[in-house]
Amino acid sequence: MGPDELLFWLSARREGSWGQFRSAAEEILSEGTNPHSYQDMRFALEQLGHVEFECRDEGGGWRVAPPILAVSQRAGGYVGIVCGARSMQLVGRVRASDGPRPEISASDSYPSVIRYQCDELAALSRTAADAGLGIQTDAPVRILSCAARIERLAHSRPAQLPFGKDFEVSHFVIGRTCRWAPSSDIEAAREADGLYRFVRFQIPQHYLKLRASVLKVDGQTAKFFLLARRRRQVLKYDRLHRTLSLPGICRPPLLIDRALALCSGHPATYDPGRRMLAYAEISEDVAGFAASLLSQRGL
Amino acid sequence: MEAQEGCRTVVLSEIGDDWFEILGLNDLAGAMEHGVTLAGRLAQGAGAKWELRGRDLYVLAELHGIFGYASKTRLSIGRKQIVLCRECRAAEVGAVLAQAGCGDVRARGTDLGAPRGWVFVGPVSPSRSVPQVPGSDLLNLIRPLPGIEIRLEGGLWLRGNSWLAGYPPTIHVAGTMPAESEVNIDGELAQEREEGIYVTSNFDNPGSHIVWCAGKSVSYELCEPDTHWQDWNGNQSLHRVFGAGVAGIESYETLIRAPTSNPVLVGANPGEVLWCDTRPGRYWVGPVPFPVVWALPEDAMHCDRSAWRVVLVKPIPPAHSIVRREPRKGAQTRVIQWCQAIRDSNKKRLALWPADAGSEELWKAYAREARAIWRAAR
Repeated sequence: MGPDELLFWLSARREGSWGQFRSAAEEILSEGTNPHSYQDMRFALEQLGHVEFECRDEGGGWRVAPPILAVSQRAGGYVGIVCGARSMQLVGRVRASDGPRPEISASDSYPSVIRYQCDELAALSRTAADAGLGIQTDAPVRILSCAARIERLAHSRPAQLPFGKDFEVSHFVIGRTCRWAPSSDIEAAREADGLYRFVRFQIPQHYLKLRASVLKVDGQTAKFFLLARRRRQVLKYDRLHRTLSLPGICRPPLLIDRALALCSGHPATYDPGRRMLAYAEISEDVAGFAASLLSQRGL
Repeated sequence: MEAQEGCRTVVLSEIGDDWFEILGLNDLAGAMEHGVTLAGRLAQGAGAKWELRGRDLYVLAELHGIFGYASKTRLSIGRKQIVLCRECRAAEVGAVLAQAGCGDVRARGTDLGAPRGWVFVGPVSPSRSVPQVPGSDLLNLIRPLPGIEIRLEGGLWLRGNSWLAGYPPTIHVAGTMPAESEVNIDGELAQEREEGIYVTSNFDNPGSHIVWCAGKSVSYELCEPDTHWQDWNGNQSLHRVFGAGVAGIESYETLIRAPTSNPVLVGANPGEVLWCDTRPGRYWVGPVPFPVVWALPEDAMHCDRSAWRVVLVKPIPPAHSIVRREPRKGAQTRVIQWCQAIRDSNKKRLALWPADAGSEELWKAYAREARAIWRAAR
C-alpha cells in the first residue's frame, strides 16, 4: 500500500486528529516499497490540495477537501488536475468517463496525479460533472488571489520567546546562502532581530524578533519577510522551460506553494545537489503574481 | 492534551482513536516497573484516569490504527508479538517462550531501544500452547492458551470492525482447530488459501460479513465511502481556500490578464477603476470586481506616446450616469479617478490597440462620458 491508499483512507475518514493521521500514514506507508515519512506525505497532501491541516501547536487536526477538478489555462488549452477526496469509485468514474482521457501518473511520494489536457473548458466541465467532481477554473490564480502579501506577516501574533531545556533553538541566517544556525533560548532573548525556530517534541514554532517586539509567525512567511527587507532575490524564473525555482530552505507559504504545484499537478521537485526547489509548467503571469506576493521584485 | 501525574503535568498526544502517547516521559523504566497514574480531562470535558500497574513483564502486539506495537493482556498463538521484561527475568521468559515454539528468543537490550534495566524478545510468534501454572504466576501471561482465535489482519481498517471496500482484512484462524471443525464466512465454507488464512468467493464484497469457527465468531464490514460531499461554499467555518477550491468568489469577479505596462484597469461604469499592484514579468493576472473594458498606462501624461498604447480588453459601451455636484469631493473620488484616467490618456492622444474603427468609436464614447462627468462634478 502507498500514498493512494492513504488518500482513500483519509477520504473515508474525512477528518481527524494529527495523531490519527500520523499513525495511519506510518502504518500504510510502511508497507510500500519506498516508504516516506508522514511529514513528507503531509506536505505533499497539502500542496496538492487533497487535505487541509491545522497548526499542530494549536491542537490541530486534518480535514479532506471535497473532490474538485482544478483547472488552469495555458497556451492553446486547459489543464485539469483532480484534487481533494478520492475513492476507488471516483477513480473508476474518472477512468470510465467519456471525453478527454485522463493521464494518471503514479508516485511513491504522493497520491497519483490524475490530469486532463483539453482544448475546451466546456469539455472539462462535462467530464468533471460526469465523474462527480466540482470544478475550479483558474485555480492557481484564484488561490494566489487569496494569499496574503508577505509584508503583512499573516497569522502572526505578539508572543513571548519560550525558554527551557526541552527546546532545540536555531536562528535563520541570511548569508551567501540561507541556513538555520544552532542557537539557544538565552541567545535568542539576547541577540538582535531575526527569525528563531524553537522545536519541542518535533513541533517547530517560529518567532520573529523585530525591534522590541516578538511575533509568533509562520516560518515560511517570515523567511520571505526577512529576505525582502534585505532585498535578497531568491526566486528565479526560466521563461524557456517555464520553471520557477528557489532554494529548498525558502519554500513559499502554503497557498503560494499549492498554487504553483497545481499548475502541473506535481509538487515542486528538489535537487539535493543544488539544494533548489523547482516548480514546473509555470506561466509567466503566475510566476509574476507569486513573486509579487513574496516581495521578490525581479524575475 | 495535558494530564497530571501526581503534581507533575505531562503532555499526551493522540495517536489513534482513544489512544494517547505520553510525550517527554523521563523515567519509562520506573513507570513500567512501579506503575503510573494519570488524571486528565477529555475534549468533551469529562474527567479521565489512566492507571498502569507496575509489573515485570509486558506483551505488545500490533493494533489497528496504531503504528507499531501496543500493550495487550497475554501472548497468543500465531501472531507477531513482543515480550518486554525486566533484565533479571530474561532467562525464565526465554525458557517459557521456547516452550511455546517461538524460535529465536534472544533478549535485546537498551542498544535497540529497550528502557534501562529492561530487555525485549521478539517479534515472536508462538506456535503451540503451554499449560498454565496454578497460582498467580506472572509468566502465565506468556503461556499461550489452547483453542483457536479468529483474527482480522491487514487491509485498510477504518474504525471498529469496518474496513474500506477493496482492501478487506485477511481472515486468520490461529491455534489448533478441533477435529471435524471448519471455517465458515457468511455461511459459506471457507477455503484455506495459505496456512491459517481463509477466504470465500464473497468475503471481500462490500457489506457485513461473519466468520465462524468452532463456536467462535467475528464480524466485519466492508464500507464504500459516501461520495456525497457537503457544499463547502456554504460552510462558513472553513477557510476561504479549501483544497484546490476557492470559496466566496463573487459572480461579478472576472479574471483579467493585462500587460503590466498598462496597470490602470477601467470598467464601463464611472468609478470602476483599479490600479494593479506592481509585478515582475510582462502580464498582470488576477480577479477584478468589474468587467474591464480598457487597460491604461499608469501616468499617461508623462509616458512616451510612441511606445505606449491604450489597450481594449473587452468592448462594452460606457454606462451613462448623472453626477450631482457634491460639496465633498471625496464622495466622488472613484468617479473622478475614472474620468481622470480616461481624460489623461485621451489628452495625450495615445494610440489604441487594436487600432480599428470599432475601438476608436468606443474610446471616443468613453472620452465624451468622462468629459461630461468631469464638467458636471466640477
